[in-house]
Amino acid sequence: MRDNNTTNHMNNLKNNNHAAIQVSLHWLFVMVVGAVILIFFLSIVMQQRRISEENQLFELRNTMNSYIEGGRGLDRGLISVSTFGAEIEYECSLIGVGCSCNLIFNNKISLNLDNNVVFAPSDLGEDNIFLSTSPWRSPYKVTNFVYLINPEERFILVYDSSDSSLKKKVEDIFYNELPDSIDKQLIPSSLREPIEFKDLNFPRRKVIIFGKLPNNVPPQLPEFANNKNTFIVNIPFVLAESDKVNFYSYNELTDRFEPETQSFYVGDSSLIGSFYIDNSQNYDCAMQKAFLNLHTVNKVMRERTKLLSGLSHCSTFYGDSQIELFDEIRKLTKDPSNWAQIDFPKLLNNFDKLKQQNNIIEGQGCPLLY
Amino acid sequence: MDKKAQIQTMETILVLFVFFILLALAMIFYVAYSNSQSERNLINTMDILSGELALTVSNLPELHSSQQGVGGINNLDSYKIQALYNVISSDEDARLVYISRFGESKIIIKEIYPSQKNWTVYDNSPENTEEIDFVRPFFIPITIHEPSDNLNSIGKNVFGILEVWYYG
Repeated sequence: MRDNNTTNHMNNLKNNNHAAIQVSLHWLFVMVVGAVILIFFLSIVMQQRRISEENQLFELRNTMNSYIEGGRGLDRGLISVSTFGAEIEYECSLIGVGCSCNLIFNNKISLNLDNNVVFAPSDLGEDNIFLSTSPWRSPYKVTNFVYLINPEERFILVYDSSDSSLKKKVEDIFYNELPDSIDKQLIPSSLREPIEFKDLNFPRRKVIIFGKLPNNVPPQLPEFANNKNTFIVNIPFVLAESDKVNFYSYNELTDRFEPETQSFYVGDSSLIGSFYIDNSQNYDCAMQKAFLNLHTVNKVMRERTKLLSGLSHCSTFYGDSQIELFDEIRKLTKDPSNWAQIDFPKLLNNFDKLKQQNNIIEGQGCPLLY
Repeated sequence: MDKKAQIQTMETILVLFVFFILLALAMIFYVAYSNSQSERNLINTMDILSGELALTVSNLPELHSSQQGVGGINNLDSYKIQALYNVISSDEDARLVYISRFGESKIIIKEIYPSQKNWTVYDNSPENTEEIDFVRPFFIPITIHEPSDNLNSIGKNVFGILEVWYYG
């Protein structure tokens, strides 16, 4: 009897253990399935979040494209574009003989700027950016230059106070060409003494110096400005229609601003463009595109002049001498990738001759050349 | 106890089976809805791109009519239209420049009053345009300036329309 009881007790214990293991397994099964379902939904949520972020970036990319394309039609305008916290970078690279410029959003999506002439710093920040435009004429309108400006950048314009003719031109640029929305300061200087300006806690600054630098060395800047976030642009002869632009960047090894490269401006629009870049290659690419546009528009203007020669009452104004002016511009600009090698005085001379011809035609009541 | 646990497991599997069937159905509906939404988005994007291209064309300095560099709004020069057409048709380099700018598209400028004239300034349409049924043309009303001639000493403006087909 006692033995039977012991056996029953043992069997009950065995059954209870078995049932407990089965219940535990059941709960383990439920938890595993629950975890799988949870992971499934989490992955959907993560994927949707990624898609939504990408959509927002695409939206921003399309908006920027619309503004830049629209800017080609707006001669002088300024707008503030919200970037919704996306980090925007501007990058130009040499491809074969040409150049390709892109805006890159959060290092994920890029916008190719094709033949749009855009001047922008490498880092446009992640807040609002200003977009401003200015027409480039030669002497007919070729395109609008688009300037993208980081509002976190400060512009210090310094001019040689010993040259009285400079003051008027620089003031005109300061008050009429640079938008009021950006932080800017005008400083007269001897260009020999150190330049003084206050630290207003801007992360980036551009120092634009008008006038010939003694020994091509820029004047000393305040201590807080001696770093990679400061870029110096020097225009020795701003009164000329076209001349040199020198770019200086900070060298950490020598603790000095050293010449990066020398380039050229052609007209005020490209001069202003040089203020907004912080990389000489980006300036070179923008100007390549400008000259490619000039070369193409010039072909159309030449063809139009040929067509106008069919007008019997005015045909004398659209003869070989006028077409030759367009031909000369075509020859001078035939290789936009080597735009810096162009004979600028000759090019400007042709622009002047076209202007003169246009003025003569205007007096005769015939269709203008441009 | 053994059977009860087995029944419970079977119940759970059944519930999960029904749950996953419902989930699969929901996914099928969602994917179908999302596809139709993407198609609508694609049509909207193509419409926007057509509009942008039309705006770009109407602002081209190569087409814009001007008096000493000052242009009117949506006012194109008839000689520039013809000149642009001639350049694109005869100059391969210029054609490549415009292909990179306009992509696969067709740009037609029509004079509609007082007379009717058509210029297909640029045509880089894909081969089977009939198959691309989501592309719609974008129209912008314009005026076309015809420079002075023997009859009109100051020239005249006529009404027209800019028609842009953008394929991508």
